Amino acid sequence: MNRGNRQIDILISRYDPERDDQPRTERYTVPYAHDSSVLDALLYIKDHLDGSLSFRWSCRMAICGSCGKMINGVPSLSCKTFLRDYAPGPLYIEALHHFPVIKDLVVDQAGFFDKLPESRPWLIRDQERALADGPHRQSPRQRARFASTSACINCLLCYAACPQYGMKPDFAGPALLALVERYNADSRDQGKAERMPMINAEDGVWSCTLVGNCSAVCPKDVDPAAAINRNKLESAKDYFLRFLKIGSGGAE
Amino acid sequence: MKAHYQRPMGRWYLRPFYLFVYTLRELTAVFVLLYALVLLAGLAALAAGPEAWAGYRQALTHPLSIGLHVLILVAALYNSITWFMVAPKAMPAVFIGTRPLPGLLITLAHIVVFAIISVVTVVLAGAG
Repeated sequence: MNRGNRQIDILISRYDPERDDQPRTERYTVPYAHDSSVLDALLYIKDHLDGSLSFRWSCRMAICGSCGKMINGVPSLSCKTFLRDYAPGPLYIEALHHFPVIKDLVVDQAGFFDKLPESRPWLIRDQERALADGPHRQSPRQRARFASTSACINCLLCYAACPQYGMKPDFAGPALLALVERYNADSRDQGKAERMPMINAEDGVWSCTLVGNCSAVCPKDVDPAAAINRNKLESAKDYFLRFLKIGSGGAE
Repeated sequence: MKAHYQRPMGRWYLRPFYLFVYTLRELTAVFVLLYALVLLAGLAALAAGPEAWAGYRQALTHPLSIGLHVLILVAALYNSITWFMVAPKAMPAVFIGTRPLPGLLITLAHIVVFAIISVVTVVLAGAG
């Protein structure tokens, strides 16, 4: 990290489960340069000011999805957010909202990862294609149908942005429903009927009220709000087709 | 070790500002409902006979009624336009080749059609 000669104050919401009943705020002053990210500042604090600060991070380049935090109240990737944009400060960093805080800036992500297999995020085929038959061919047009939803990095910023998830932790939520759409829109996949129960459920697309904030904070332009709301149409169609006994989706 | 800390939701519908904007959009539906009730009352008056209908029309000219209608108009416009803004997310995806149709274009198309239908309706109502 280029230390730079400017300084900025950072307020961090700290929580130690062994001594705190609720989070407390601590202030740190860190040096920064033009290219210093919020993650650089957190690493500086951990290395030089307070080694007990806990936070998740890995790649430092907005692809691993580990370093999401609330930065001035907005869910953001700390590696992709720059201190210069918050000068003269101070800036306020909290753990991602809506998830239980384990310690400091580390949240329990089980609310997302436990539900992940339900979305069946893999290609489902009626009949597996034999290796000898060669690859599944796909045109650029077919690829474009799921280009945006396949960009998700599971960073969970969309969950921290969604008040519905905050009130109903059972809600499948933006990233999972975008993942469902990613596979349903894939020309190689034949598993839509298997995924319909998750879409149709009350904790599926119908818990979304189109606040739209998930898409606004997404660092990868996935647009989960669109993926969810397009599936309300699919879910309604599925209901009527099943009503006429010609559909196969099924309800939860 | 103690349990994890679960942050309370608090007044999330007021702050931050973008959630307040969302709350306003949802609340404007109440005014749309109010107008539906006003129309329903008119229909009931029409069915009840000429005197009731005249009374209904008389009541509409009261300053309180005009004030309510202005309020309903503003709320309904806000409701319509904010929904047009999210329409690109609620309709099936439209692609031109490998590119998705820009959302702004979809929103503008909705607003233009809405404006044309509104003008035609006002002209027809004026002529009738």
